[in-house]
Amino acid sequence: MKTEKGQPILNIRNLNIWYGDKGILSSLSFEVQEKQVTAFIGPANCGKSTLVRCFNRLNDFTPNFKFTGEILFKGSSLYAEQDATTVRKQIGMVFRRPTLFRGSIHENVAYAARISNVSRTSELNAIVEKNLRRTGLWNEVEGILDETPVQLSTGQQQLLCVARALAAEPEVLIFDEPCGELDPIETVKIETLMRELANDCTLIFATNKRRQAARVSDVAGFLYGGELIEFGATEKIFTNPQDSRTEQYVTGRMG
Amino acid sequence: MLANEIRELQHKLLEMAGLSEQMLRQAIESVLTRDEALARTVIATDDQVDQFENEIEAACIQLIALHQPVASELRFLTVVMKISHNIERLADKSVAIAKRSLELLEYPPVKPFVDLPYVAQVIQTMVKDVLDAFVNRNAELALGVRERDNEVDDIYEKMLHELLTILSEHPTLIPPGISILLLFRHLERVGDLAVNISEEVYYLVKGDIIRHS
Repeated sequence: MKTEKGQPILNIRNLNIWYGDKGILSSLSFEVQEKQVTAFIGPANCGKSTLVRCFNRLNDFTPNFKFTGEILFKGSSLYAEQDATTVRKQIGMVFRRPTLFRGSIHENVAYAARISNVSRTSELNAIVEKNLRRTGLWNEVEGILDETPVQLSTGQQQLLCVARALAAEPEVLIFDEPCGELDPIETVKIETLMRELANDCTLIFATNKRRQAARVSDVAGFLYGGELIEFGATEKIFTNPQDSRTEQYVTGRMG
Repeated sequence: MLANEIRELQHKLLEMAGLSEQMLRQAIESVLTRDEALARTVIATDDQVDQFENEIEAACIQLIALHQPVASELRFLTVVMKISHNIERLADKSVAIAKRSLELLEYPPVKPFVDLPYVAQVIQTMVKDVLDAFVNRNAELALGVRERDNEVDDIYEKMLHELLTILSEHPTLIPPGISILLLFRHLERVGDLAVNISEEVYYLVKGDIIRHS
């Protein structure tokens, strides 16, 4: 696990989020370091999904969503950019359930390259192969690239979603409960992949599986009731948490 | 669940510690009163302490495997393994003292043990306090035990010096003198073991490793 401090790639300052009048997150301030894996843990409805979705501008279309404070990506406000698509090329997202696009396996992975105006077949093929190899899926789908991904197992579909996100060459990759629908073997594959990806990419994920955060992350934040109770090195959170609520949560006595 | 298992484990560790404290007390008494039967009782009790150590270690490993504890529960289980190991070594030192006690019975008393009852008392109080610190999760009391070991070391040096003076003047006393010298050394080591335990207690409470600092 990497614990040395890298460069902050995301800087969150005094972030407050509401859905209508309902406060979801209050006064969050923290930094996400480059090429580290940062996990957000906490019981259901603590705001962890809302938080990680902000980094991908996914709350833009949520009715009544409003926020105050700053989310800086490499020093500039993430919300200053008019076009959320520009943000999403740099900050990718993988959801709890595999979200397949229509079309073949090849078309799913080539999607980001196509909207970036890559049209040469050889170039697209190379991008598809490279990213399927990165996720370890290439050998399993090499012969069925032009077929629909619906036939794949849930775990394979999730790996395909990671490959599709990677094809945009994002600097940050967000996972919202990435193994929520997966069995233990598929979970190990995704977790192993996440550690590997952290060599080139910054990873942020929300999970309600405490042990997953312990296994995968370098830094962990505990959210409870919309507040960031504790944020720090994962080994510290899981061996000697400073707040009694974190202690109760990580030992399974709360949540 | 795990909380109950942890309570039971603590109970077992304290039973082991009680037995080990009793062995230490009896071993010292057997030296001071030249009581052969008591020395043999100490030696015979050691197997029970060994058995405790094995059982406690097995229980800790099992709980770690089955519950994958974190935070204070993880610290507790790792610390219990180390404390039980130190308590087992403490019992071994009591056995060693009892053996010296038996050896000394073969010779007439060399000289009255002036400092021995005092240093033995200091050491036994250190052991008692460090166990209290464990039970009450008292880091300050644990630190106090650690500091008191300096006094033990000073008395040990003093006793050693006196003994060597006597032996240099009376070379015929060298055979029992060697047993006494070893006896002092065993006692001094008991102090070190109490210090080891105090450092584990400090880690349990505060989460900071202070060993070697």
